[in-house]
Amino acid sequence: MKILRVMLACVLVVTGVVSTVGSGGGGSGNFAGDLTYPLPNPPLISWADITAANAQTVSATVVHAADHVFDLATTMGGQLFPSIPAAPDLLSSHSKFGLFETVVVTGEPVTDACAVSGTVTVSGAPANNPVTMSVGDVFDLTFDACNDGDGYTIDGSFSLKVMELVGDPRTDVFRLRYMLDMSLTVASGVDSYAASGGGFSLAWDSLAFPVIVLTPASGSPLQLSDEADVYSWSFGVGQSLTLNADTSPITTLEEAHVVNMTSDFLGSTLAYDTIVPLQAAEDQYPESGEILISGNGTVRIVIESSSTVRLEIDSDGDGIVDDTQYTTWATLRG
Amino acid sequence: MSSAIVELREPHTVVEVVLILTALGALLLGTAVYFLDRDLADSMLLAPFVLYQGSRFAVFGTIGGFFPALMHAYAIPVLIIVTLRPWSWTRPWVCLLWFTLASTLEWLQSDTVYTLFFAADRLPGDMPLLRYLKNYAVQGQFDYIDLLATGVGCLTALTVTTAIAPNSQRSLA
Repeated sequence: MKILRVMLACVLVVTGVVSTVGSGGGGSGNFAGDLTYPLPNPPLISWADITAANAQTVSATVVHAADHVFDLATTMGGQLFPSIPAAPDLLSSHSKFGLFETVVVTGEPVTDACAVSGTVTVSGAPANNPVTMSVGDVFDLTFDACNDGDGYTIDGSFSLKVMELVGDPRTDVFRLRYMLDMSLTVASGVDSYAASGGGFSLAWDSLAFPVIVLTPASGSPLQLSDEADVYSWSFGVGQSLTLNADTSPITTLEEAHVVNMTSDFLGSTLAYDTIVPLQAAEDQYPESGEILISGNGTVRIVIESSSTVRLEIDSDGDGIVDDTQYTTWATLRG
Repeated sequence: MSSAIVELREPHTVVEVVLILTALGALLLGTAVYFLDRDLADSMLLAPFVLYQGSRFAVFGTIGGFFPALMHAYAIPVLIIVTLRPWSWTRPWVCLLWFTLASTLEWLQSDTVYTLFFAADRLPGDMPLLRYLKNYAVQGQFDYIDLLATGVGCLTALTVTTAIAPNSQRSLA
């Protein structure tokens, strides 16, 4: 009897720990009714010095990093959320996702060379239907230094598990719910950036389109919301990308708030905050927006137009601009 | 008529039921904060119910920030105390143990832990358990108020169990 009680007590302890971790700790730093996602504690970091002499380098580092992250988001977003008429082509329109079809038919892993170098391997466990996807199918994309000529390489994995499937995704009538899990590292040769998201499920109902419901399964910071042709994708912490397919050309709104970025190139850390969202037409340089970079001192990147960028440098952090420089987004992007 | 003090070996049925009810009530109240005030998507355990969450009202206001920690820190020790006997020695030890454990979990959310373990991805592999722990540590916020709430909850558990069931003995007339 005593053993039973001790065992029960142990179960209670484990339950208590699991419920604490699973609920996010029970506490919240968001008092006063602020219900937004809590930001992580800033790590103890070595801030980079920002001076008039290195302002362009500092700005270029942030622009470079942000560009890669958003490039990746656009790429992934494009694969996940193609335009409505292309929705049925999810499995065949993009070369990498096209590999799914082969895996589904053969059940064998398929490795394909990326455009420039590296490979991507698609493997899976199609359950029972040799022709179409079915519930329980798991597909993994493993990137091995995959370089598609976009200026960066991708390492890591991206998994998809089919949770619910009604109809055929290759037709206009289907409802698909799947779990996604990703852990990717994007390297440009100078810096590297990691993107990860715990498991989350995504329901896609073609009959009730646009209905995309995303449910994080593990408190993942990766979230998606959808309204008509405007897709908003949040990832990491405080980063988001909005694609507005209602306009022509498609506009992109990028936001990245209070993101700490450790740069191998600078050997120290910078924080950047997109205080005015960057707005750009599809495949164009941004034409408006502001990024505030902080370290020991600040530099504010003010995008005046697609061809002019103003840098306001405050080396001593007293709030007064010490120097102003002009450059272009293309120069900063490198 | 003689009196004697005897060891109580049968369950304190009523006292136990009352304590269990207070613990379950506390858990219910703590959970209500998540359903009424917070986004269920922020909670790993409750995320599956996010589709069923209606509007959020900030019912608990500012106390909603630490209320679940307080309720949790009361409920878990009480349930363990009721489970283990004799109560006289389990009461302080269980409360101390739970305070230590809960404080450690809170500490996992601190800057120090972030820097030591998570900032540079020092944890090995891609084990789901580690991933959940990392999510918890990275996304949560260390807060002294939560720590205080945990302490108050454990202390309340000790006080209530002491007051309702003063000892594991009873006097028989």
